[in-house]
Amino acid sequence: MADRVAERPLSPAPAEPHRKPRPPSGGSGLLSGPGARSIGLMAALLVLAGALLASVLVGYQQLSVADVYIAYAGFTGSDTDLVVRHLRVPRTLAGLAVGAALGVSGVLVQGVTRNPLGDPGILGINAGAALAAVLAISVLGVSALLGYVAFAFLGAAAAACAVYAVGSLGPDGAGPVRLALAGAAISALLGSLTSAIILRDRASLDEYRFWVVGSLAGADGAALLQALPFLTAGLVLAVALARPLNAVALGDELARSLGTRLWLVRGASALAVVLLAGTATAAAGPIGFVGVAVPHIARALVGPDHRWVLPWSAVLAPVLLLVADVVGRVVARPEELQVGIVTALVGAPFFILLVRRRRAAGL
Amino acid sequence: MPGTGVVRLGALSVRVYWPEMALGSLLAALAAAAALLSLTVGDFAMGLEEVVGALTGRGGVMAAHVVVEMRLPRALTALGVGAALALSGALLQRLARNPLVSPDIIGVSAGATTAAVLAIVAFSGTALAVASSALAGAVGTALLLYLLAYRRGVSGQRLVLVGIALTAMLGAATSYLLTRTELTTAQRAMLWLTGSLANREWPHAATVGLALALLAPVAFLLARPLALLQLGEDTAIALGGRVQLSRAVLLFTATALAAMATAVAGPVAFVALVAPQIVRRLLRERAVGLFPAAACGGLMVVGADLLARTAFGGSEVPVGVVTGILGAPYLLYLLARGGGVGRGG
Amino acid sequence: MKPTDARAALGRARSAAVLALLLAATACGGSPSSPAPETAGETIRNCDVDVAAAEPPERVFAAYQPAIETAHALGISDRLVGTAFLDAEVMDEHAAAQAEQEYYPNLPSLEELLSHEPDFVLSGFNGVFTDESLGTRASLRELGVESWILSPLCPSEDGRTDETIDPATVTMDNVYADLRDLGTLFDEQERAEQVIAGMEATVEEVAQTLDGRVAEEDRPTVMIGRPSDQGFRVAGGPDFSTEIIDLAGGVNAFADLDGRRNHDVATEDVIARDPDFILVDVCCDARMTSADAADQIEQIMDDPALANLTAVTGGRVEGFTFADRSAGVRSADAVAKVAGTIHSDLFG
Repeated sequence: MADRVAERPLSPAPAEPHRKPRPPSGGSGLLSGPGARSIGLMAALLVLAGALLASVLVGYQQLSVADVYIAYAGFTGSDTDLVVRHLRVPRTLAGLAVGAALGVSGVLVQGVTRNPLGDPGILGINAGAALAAVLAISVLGVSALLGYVAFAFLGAAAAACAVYAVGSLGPDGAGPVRLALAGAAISALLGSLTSAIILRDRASLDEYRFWVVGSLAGADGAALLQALPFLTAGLVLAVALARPLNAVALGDELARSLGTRLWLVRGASALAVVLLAGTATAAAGPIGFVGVAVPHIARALVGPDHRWVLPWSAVLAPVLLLVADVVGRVVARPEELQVGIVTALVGAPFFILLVRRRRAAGL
Repeated sequence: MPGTGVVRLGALSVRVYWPEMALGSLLAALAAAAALLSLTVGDFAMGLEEVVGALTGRGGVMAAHVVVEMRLPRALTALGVGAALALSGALLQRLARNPLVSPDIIGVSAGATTAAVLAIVAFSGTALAVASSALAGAVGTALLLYLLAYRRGVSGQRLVLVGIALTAMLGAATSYLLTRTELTTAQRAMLWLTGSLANREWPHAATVGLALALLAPVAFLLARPLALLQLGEDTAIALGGRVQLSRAVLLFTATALAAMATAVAGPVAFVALVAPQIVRRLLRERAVGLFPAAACGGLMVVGADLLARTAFGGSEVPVGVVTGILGAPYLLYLLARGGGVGRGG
Repeated sequence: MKPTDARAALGRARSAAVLALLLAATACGGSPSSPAPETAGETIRNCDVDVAAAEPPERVFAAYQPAIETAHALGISDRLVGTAFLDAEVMDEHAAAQAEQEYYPNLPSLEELLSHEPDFVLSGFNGVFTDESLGTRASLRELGVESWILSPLCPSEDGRTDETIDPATVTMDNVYADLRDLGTLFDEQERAEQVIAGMEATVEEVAQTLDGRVAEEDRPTVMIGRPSDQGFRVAGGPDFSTEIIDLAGGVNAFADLDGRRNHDVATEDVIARDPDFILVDVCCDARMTSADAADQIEQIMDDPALANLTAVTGGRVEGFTFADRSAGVRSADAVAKVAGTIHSDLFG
């Protein structure tokens, strides 16, 4: 019964006459043909470069390209040099890394669960990271900001393992809907435990309420370097999964008959999601919406082929995140709006427009 | 269907399914017993005699206040909130023919939460202002959701996608509000958004009671046409406009019930989802009996609130924490058993 | 209101008016230097609520640090039936008295409160008297429980927990006025005057030491705050910190941020303002002391982005507590402490 919900509309959608059955890979999308998609991707990369530049230059004080050049070529230790090297650039790189990780893990989750509403949070990653961080603060007394990043990552990984284990208990393994349900249930359980702790421990609540928003402001170069191996491994895994995920999109039976080892694809995807989204969440808090929205945008542009959706999502997600971060720095001065808030407030209306304009591209 | 009888009251005839009635009565009796028990439990230590004394107007002013103005309305609010949530869940699950649909999906919880937290943080509103704001938020969000998802009819998938986007926006707004306030105010807001019955008094009990009095009869009266929907969408469509109308009315009823319950107690997790499923399993029927579901919901919330007040050492926890900790494993158990949930059904 | 109640109330009001006239008459006739008591007969006004003052309260519940310390300072420790919500260790002189109290880390439930059968709730913060917490002050009065909010934090209306504070009330004089009123209320006037005199002497000593030695434009800028995920959370203009720093001969580096007591600012904002001193205000635990700021001080000192800050290069990042920022009996000591930190040459 529930399978139907995930794989087809809750109630019959009005038929849209121009929609024809199409092959599962290639086909629809605004940009059709490899040429248009490649050129488009180049353009998207240029936009990303612009977003990166804006993120370095715009902020409490506006900087020029020359300031940035001097900070590296002629470092004198001035305030501007320090701001560039220790605040703006690490923050921008964090936006790039976290964005790409969230976008790609969103594609993986949606692909492997064949659920267009999939979000890395569905594997319990946010809830696990939150509970672990809160436990680290309240039980172990970890107060340094970097201290609970490791806990958050472990919590995210543990929660994802639990979700995957429960999701695979049934007779036919980790089916897409079972996985989603197990994720929802475990997230709710962990969320209740988190609430129980933070409502009794003021210090934890105080840390939690800021952490849970999701922010790039605390980005720090050393932590970023530590995260890099995890992110790289996740991205490599994702690239390898592009073709198998195209097969999974055809349905379990067809995929199996094409020689796809479903358990392997699912396990590898879960691992990649933990590496990517777990690291991103540990580094910047649970930034919502990017993971669910960006793959939709990418599919709207290039159709359902994962070999295109993955790179496009890896480029578009950081653009969304960086632009949101820059907006957050300037709209509420002298304070800042956290990037998690801006992403949702700016991204959601755009997403609704997209949903209204066309049926979300299927999987 | 075996066990079905017809009760005639003059011109009115009501089809009654006896096992359902029996289960419902049993659950209702248990819920009432739990509610009575909860009158004797609390931080203000009192013997049974003192509680009876307080109820009958004898005893000290503080004891009387604790029993009559605090514990009694709290117990009634718990019963009402549980019944309303369970009814809402049962209706939605029937309408969507999906055992895992709950009011959260139609944006009720997120809208109510953001509006309530706004009332707490930005306007430091009184409890009733917070409840009214939550109600407005719930209804407003549900309306906005339908409006935004409407395009030559409401497609289920578009509804859910727009719901996700709205929920993300509202969630971000809630988180933002929590960071822009003093810690104590954040604590107050956090308590609300976990789902709590602490300090719920007569106006709360009256609000949810009124909602049930107005909306429950609608749900029961339309239960028959609803049963037709179980036959499947195509059959229902073939039966024409009247079914479409009752479908719309029931959707509204479910939304309003959940909105009222959430306004009064905050988003109490899992009751709407789990109570109908427990009844379904006990009756071994595909249809969810509305009366037993409502009674089951009431029992769940009263019981969870008793636990919330007693099982966690010195200070109580919000009831939403208890329903979450108990409800989520139940869902996991259903999943692990592999029957019905998570596969085609 | 029943007619008999109304008549009784009218009667009370009339006798209060007569009493007030009498008091006014004696005040006029008496020596002008003795201040007229603020009692309007049987009540004292606190945050727009008239508090019954005919009988000194016997069973007092104190919530939040400033209230708990005020109760001990006024010598009513033996009248306390419970205490809740400390931000830091209580002042040394009250540690023994506090150790004997029943203590709740968070506010108790209303039932729990009532089980102590209090006749008075003294609060150091306006987050207590709401419907969801212990009830409005009016609703508590119906149960025979009077209440008090330390007035630098008055809410705009009973039942609210406003964060918007009237900056005019955030003064040391208001702390003294509260102590005087509470002394009258608890029938501990002498003790209250002693406490006030002690505080005034401390503040005066600081003022004397500073007098003529620190020019207005040479006042060091002081930031009271702590690192957060977003940058720093700092005390803004309407916080009592501003008054404390001012009396200690400094300037709150974030005094221009108004509206709320606490503000979240970006690290770049801190760099741009470059405060001369950073006081890290750790919070909220009954065992907290300024020594607990060590980790956060280290974090600030080691942050490469902050390497150029005057406070960092000069080693002027010091421990502080949130409790020291709050208006109450420890505020004079807080002034001396801040003065000793930012003018160590004068207070060696």
